[in-house]
Amino acid sequence: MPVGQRAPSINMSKILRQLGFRTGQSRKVTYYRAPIYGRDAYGVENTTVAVNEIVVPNIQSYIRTQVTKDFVIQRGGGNIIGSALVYLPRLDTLKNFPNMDQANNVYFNDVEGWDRMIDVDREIFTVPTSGTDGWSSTAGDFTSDGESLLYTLTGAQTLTYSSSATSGQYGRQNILETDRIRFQLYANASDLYLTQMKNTVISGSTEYTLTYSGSSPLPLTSGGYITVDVPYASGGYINTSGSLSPDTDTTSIYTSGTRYPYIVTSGNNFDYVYDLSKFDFTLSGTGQVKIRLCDFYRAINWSVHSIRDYTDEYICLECVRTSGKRQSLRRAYGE
Amino acid sequence: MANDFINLIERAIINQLRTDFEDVHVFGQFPEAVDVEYPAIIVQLIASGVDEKFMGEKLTFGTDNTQSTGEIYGMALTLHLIVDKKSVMTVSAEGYKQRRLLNYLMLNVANSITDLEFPSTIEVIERHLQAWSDIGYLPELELWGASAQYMVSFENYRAV
Repeated sequence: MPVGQRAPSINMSKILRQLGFRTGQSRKVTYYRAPIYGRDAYGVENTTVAVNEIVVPNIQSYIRTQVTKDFVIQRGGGNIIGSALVYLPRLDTLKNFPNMDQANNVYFNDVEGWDRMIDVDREIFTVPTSGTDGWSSTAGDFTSDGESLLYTLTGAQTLTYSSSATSGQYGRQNILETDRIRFQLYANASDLYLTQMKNTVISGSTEYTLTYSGSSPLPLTSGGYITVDVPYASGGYINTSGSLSPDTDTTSIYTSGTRYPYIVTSGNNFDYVYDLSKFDFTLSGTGQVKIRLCDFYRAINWSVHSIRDYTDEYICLECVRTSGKRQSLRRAYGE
Repeated sequence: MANDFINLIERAIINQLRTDFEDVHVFGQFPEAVDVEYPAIIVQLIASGVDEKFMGEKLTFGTDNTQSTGEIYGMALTLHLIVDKKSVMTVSAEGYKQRRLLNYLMLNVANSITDLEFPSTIEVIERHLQAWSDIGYLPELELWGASAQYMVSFENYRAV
C-alpha cells in the first residue's frame, strides 16, 4: 500500500448482513449478561438483584468456530468443550441497538468477561406461522402471509397453538431438548401489549403448564418486530427464593432498553421432559399483531473469556462453550 | 445375605444428608460436568480395609451352629462441599449464598454426620469426622469449597 494512504475501513455490520445471506456463519445471537447481586456488610452476595440481567436478542455476529464440541474433554470431566472467535460490530454500532443504547439502558457500557452470546444449536420445534392450522383464539380469525401469523385484536385475547403431533414420548410434540423459546411480535398500533405466554405440556391425558407472566405488560412498539427470547428448561432464570424449584424464577424481555420482568410459574408436577400440547399468547389492546419465527431451540452458550481485537470496525472475542445437559441421559432417566 | 456393609454405610450417609439438606444435591461420587448441580455435597469413598481382628476363627454364637469369623473393618470417605456463585439456600428466612452458605453447610453437615444413626444391621464401633480443610475459592470457576475426612469402623463378621 502506498505510503500515506489510509487503509479502507470495514463496514462490519454490512459484512455480517451479507455473510448472513450467503453462509450460516453470520448469525443473530442473544447477548446475555447475568444479574449482579447486592452484597452484605461482610462481602457476601445476598439475594437482592442490584443490576438486572441483560438479555438482548438479535445481535448480528460472525462465529468462527474452532472446536464445536469436544466429547473427550466432556467425558474427562471438563465443562469447557468448545471454542470460537465471535466477531461483533464495533461498540458504537452495538450501542446503536435500542436495547443497548445508553440513553435507554445505562447498564450496558462494554463487552465484559463471562458475558455470553447465546446461539442456536438447532431448532427443536418451530410453532408454524406460515399457515393458520392449529391456531385458535377466544374470538376472531387468523390469517397468514406465508411467514407471519396475522390477527386483529379487539381487547384482551388469548391466541393458542395446539399441537396435533403424536410423535412425542408422552403423546404430543417432543420438545425435550429445548433450552430456550424465541419468537417475534409485530404491532401496527402503539397500544398493543403482550401480557403472558403459557406453555402447556402433556403426559398421557394430563396437562401441566409453565406460565410467563409480565409484571407489567410488554408494549409492542408500533411498526417494528420485537424479539422475545426466554429460557425454557435450563439456565437464565433469576432465582431469588432460595428454592430449587422454578416457581418464583424470573426472566426478562427488553424493548427499547427497558426491562420487563416476566415471572415464570409452573403448576404442580410440571416437568420439562413432557411433550408440548399447546402454546398460548395473551395479548391486549386494539390493532393487528403478527407472530413469526417462533422456535423452541437448543442453545449454545459462548462465554467471553478474552477480547482479541477491539478496532474501529469490529470486536473479536475469544469465547468458550460450556456444556449443557446431555440429552441422551435426560431421555433415559426422564430428568 | 452377603455382607455389604460398605454400601450400606455409604448409602446411609447419603440418605441422611439428602434428608437433612433438601435443597442441596448429594452425589455419591464426583458427577460428570454435565450432571453437576450446586450446592453440592460429594461423598467420596477414598479408602477401606481390615483394621484388626476382633474375634477368633469359625466361632459359633450361642445355640446357633453357624460358624463365623470377624474383623474390624474401616472405611474412609472425603466429604466435599461445593457452592457456586448462584447457589442459594433459605436459612431462617434469609437467602444464604457463597461463603456464608459454605460456612453454614460446614457446621450443619458435621452435625448431620455426627447425629447419623446407622441401620441396626451394621455394628459401627467407631467414627471420626476430621476438621474441614482446603476451604477456599476457585476464581476461574467461581466455586467455593471445603473438604473433610470421615472414618467409620464396623464389625465385619461373616459366616465361614
